[in-house]
Parts: sequence; structure tokens; C-alpha cells
Amino acid sequence: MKKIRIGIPYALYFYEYYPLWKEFLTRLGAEVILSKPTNKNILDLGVRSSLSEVCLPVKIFYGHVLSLADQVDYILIPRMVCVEKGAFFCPKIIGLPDMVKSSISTLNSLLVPLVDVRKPYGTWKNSLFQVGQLITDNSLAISRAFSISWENFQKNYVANLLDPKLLNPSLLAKDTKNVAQGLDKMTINININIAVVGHDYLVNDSYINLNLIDKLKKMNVNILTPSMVPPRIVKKQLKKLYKPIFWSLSRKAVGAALYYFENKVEGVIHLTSFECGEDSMVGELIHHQSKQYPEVAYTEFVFDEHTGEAGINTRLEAFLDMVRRKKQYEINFAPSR
Amino acid sequence: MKTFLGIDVGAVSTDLVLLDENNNVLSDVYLRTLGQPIKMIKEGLSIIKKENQGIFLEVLAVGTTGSGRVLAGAVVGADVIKNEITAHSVAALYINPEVRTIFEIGGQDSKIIVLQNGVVVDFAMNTICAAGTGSFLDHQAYRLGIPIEEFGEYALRSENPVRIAGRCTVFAESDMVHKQQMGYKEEDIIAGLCEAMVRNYLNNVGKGKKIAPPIFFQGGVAANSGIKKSFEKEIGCEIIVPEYYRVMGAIGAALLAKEEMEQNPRSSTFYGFELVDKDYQTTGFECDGCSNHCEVVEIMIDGELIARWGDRCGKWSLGYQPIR
Repeated sequence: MKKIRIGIPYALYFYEYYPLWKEFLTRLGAEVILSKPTNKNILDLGVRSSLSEVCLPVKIFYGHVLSLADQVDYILIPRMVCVEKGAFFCPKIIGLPDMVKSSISTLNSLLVPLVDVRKPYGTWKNSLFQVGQLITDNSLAISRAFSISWENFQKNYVANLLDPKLLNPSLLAKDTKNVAQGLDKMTINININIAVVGHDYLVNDSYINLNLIDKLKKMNVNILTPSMVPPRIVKKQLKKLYKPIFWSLSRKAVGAALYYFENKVEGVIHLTSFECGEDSMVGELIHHQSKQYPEVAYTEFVFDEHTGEAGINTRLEAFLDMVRRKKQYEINFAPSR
Repeated sequence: MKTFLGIDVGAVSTDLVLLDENNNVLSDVYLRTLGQPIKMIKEGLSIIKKENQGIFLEVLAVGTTGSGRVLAGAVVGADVIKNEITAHSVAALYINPEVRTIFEIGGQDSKIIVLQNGVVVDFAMNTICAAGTGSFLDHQAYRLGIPIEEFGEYALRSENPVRIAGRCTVFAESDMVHKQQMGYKEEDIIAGLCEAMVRNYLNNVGKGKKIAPPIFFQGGVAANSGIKKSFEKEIGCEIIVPEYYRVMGAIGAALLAKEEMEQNPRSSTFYGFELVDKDYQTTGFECDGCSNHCEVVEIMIDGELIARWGDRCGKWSLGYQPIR
């Protein structure tokens, strides 16, 4: 029998949940096809087919969906509503399956499982089960595949993230070369640590962020990302805020930013996309918190469709010059901090 | 004579500065880029050469800055290629080590730089909008039929500036047309424009920044005394426009080049003033190696490839390698 081919767009929340779905579907015997990392073609496809008001990452999601269209039997677009108490996904993500459906009429079947853990039928298990039933009738096999992949997802999630020494990065989803295009192992002996915080789909998508990570790497700094901060630390950091963060996908970024501030890394760069509703709040919040740590340089980079890199290069170079000159000054004149 | 050369290639102007060993300005050149940076760099160099006729100029180091810094660096064989924020702050700090805030408003960019103890601690650049920049003023001056050089004087003559929406160039313009049709005096409208631009700058670029005196105002727009006055009115303290406000970026680049040579002594990679006679060509092609279709640019001197960039993957990039 021919394997069912299921396409996963390499964008938005899949930076977080891809490993879970991939393992689950593969265990059930489906062939999982991950779209290619964002490129010009995907961006063009997305921009042409999406609404003009949505943010760039959503437009790019459309592009990934379209790029998969002819290669697969189904495209997986879970409706992510709520995965933890008191926090939700961005409205554009909740409505993503509908937006995609209404804008792209030519699509093959979409798989739209609901993930809303407040509801009995919206648990992860139910959600994956629903999809599993498409592939096989064997409920036992589905249950088993779920248990194992869920366990591995939880386990590796923590294993991939690291101890509080601000080192050793690694991204989620190391299992495929496709996804693990990101950061290499890094060492302690580089003396400038720059934290790049923001949504995973900005930090890890080198097309959207105009190769920021590579540029930083060339500048010889140690790069830190939100994924390197273990969930329990994120949780602890978020307690410092007078109010919990409302959006699941922003929690990690905020918690990581606070953690990096507290650990006095040399600089924190917050990435946001133009027109991002979450970031308009979260950005202010992080900026506000940064003021308590004047020794940590802070800046924000806004990304949109323009591919001109001049603006980002200037900001980045100036930011690092600032960090380096400040450090030099501290070494020469100031008592150690 | 031992000298240091600084070149600032911006969207609107190309500035060159030649400093002597004691950081005195020997020559400063301010040219409109007019979309032809290479030509303007050559022209600037020949002007410097002419101004210092009869003196043997030994250029110990060259620095480039501005949005065209990489191109300029390749064209002249620069020793240091630095962003304009660092360049502007280094120049301002040289003139006054106490400086705390720098407003830099150029043709396409506006920036604010916050300093403490002679070190940059914060900065911001205008993001997607160009409402608070020189191009906006240029455009409005052209619309009103007033030479941009006289814009400031008009504004100073006003006793009763009208309020103009500063949020967006498009709205500012329609607001301005409306005020014209209502019969407001030209100078009041111009002063209103200056105030709108300053408000926009402080709300966008300067948002949340600690603005403390002494404040330096540099970049092409600092020539506009109307803007300076509006800043003073809005902030309530003196704004200092340094003597060489137009070429501060280039001064900074020269100082940075000098600093680099002091830290890592070597001989300069500068091609010399003879480069003005050389033939520069730029060609480009679209790489079809992958679906990104990067636009690759090549710079050649007399048919010899000296630099290539524009690709994301680095397959083509030569960066810029100085040749001898």
C-alpha cells in the first residue's frame, strides 16, 4: 500500500511542535514531508495569496502551504487555541486554518485537528488521535504511537534545552537536517554573549531575519536563543511580572529575555515582525524590563517584507560596536561590575 | 603631510573629509550623491586633491561609513568600514567628550544616539517610515517652490506656526495643502512643518530615550535653523550644531581609521588619489543556484574584479579584498 503523504509547513508554531507530529505520524506509517526552509519563492507565493494585513510570518506560512500542495495528500494545519491554563495562541494562529482555506481554494485536503486543552475533545491526545484515524483503523497502534511520541517530545524538549550557564545551544527538532539548520555548538570562551529573543519562527527562520544568526556568528559572539532556556526557568522568570503573559508562543521569549537580563549577558536583541499584535505588547514589556538592567544593551529589530539588508546591518554593527566599546571602557576605567 | 581620509556615502549626500595628524580638518567636501556614489567619490577625491595642491598628501588610513560604506570601501580600498552610528558618535565625542545625546538626521535615515561617559549606551533609527527625514523636507520645499537652503530662515520668521500632522508624510502633505488653501502664511506653514517633523522624530525615533544635554544635532538637516529652533522649543534646552555638522560621519570614519591603525599598525590599503583616473564598472546578475535568486553585484576596476556581494549563501561573495 502506498504511504499517505502528509505535508507540514515549516513555519509558525511548527518550530515548536514539529517533532511531536513528525514522530507520531511516522510511527503510524505516514510519510511526513516538511516544506523547505523559507526562500524567495515561498515568500512570493505567500505574499500573493494572503491578505495584506497579516504579519509576514503568516504570509510565509501560506507560502509553505502552497509549496507543499502538489507533493502531498494532506496538509496538516492544527487549530492551536490553548495548550496551557490562562494562555492562548494569537488570533491569527487560531484562525489560520480558516484563513488558509478561504484564501487558497485550490488546496487538497487540510487536516485541521483542534488543540484546545480546556475542552475534553481538544486535548493533545484527541487531537492526534483524530489525525491518526486517517492513517490507520488500529486504535491501539494510534494510542501507542501517541504515548511514545508524546513522551519523547516532552523528554527531548527538556533535554534539548540547557543548564543555566547560558551555553550550549541547540534547537528543537534536531532529528531532521532540515530543521536543524540553526545553531552550532558554542563555547564559553567567547566573551560577548548576545541573546536573540523573539518568536521561534523569527529567530530560526534565516530568510525572515535576513541571516541574522549567521551575521552574528561571523561577528564572533556567543549567540543565545529562547530555546536554550529550560521551561522551568522560563516559568520562574515569568513570575516576576505583575501579570501573566497571555500568549503561549510569547512566553518563552519573555521568560528568556528576563533570564538573560538577569544573567547580565552583554546584549539582548528582540526580534519582532511588523504588524505583530503580540509583539506590540510583549516588545514594550521587554523594553520596560530592560531598563532595570542598564548594563545590558538592548535593542529591537523589526522585520517586514523588505529584503534590503542595509538597515539591519547598520543596526547590528552599531549594536555590537556599542557593546564592544562599552566593554572596553569598563575594562579600562570602571571597577568591575 | 600625514593625513587620514574619511568618506561617508549616504542616500542623499557623499561627504569626504581629510584630517591631518592632529585631527584638524584640512578639507571637507559635501556632494549630492544623485544615485551615483562611485562618481561622487571620485569627484570628492579630486576636489580634495585640488584643494591641497602642492602638498604631498600621505594617506595613512581610510575609513568609510554611511549606507554605501561597503561599496565605498571597495572603491577606495578602505582600511576600516564602519556603520554610521559609531562614526557619528566618535566624531561628536572628539569634539565634545561630554556629549550625552546626538540627533542625526540625514536624507533617508534619522537616528538618535545616547551616550554616557563617552560610550554609546543606546541608539535608535527610524524604522520603516521616512517622515522625519531630510527627504521629506526636500520634497515639501520643492512643492512650495522654496530652495531648501532658505527653508530654515522662513521658519524663523514665523511668529505663529500652524499645527500640521506629523505622523505621516502623506498626511502632513494633505494637511499642509489644506492650510495653504485656508490662507495661512507661508512661513507659518513652514514653521509648522518643522515642528511636525521634530514631534515625529521625538515620538518615533526618540521614543523612550533619555535625552540629556549637551545635545548635538548633526547630519544634513542640521543646516535647517527652523528644525533646530523647534527642537529647542520642544526639549527646552540648547541644541548644539557642530561646525562640521554636514560631514560628521566622514570625520568619524577618518577618526576610526586612525584608531584602527594605532591599535593594529599596518600600511593602508588605500588605492591612492590616482583612483580617480581608473575606470570602475559594476555589473550584476541573478544567481539561479537555488530558489532565492539572489541579485549578485560585481565591482571591477579596469576590468579586474575587486568585490562581489549580494548573495545570501556566500557562494559568490568575495566580500571586499583590497588589491595592491
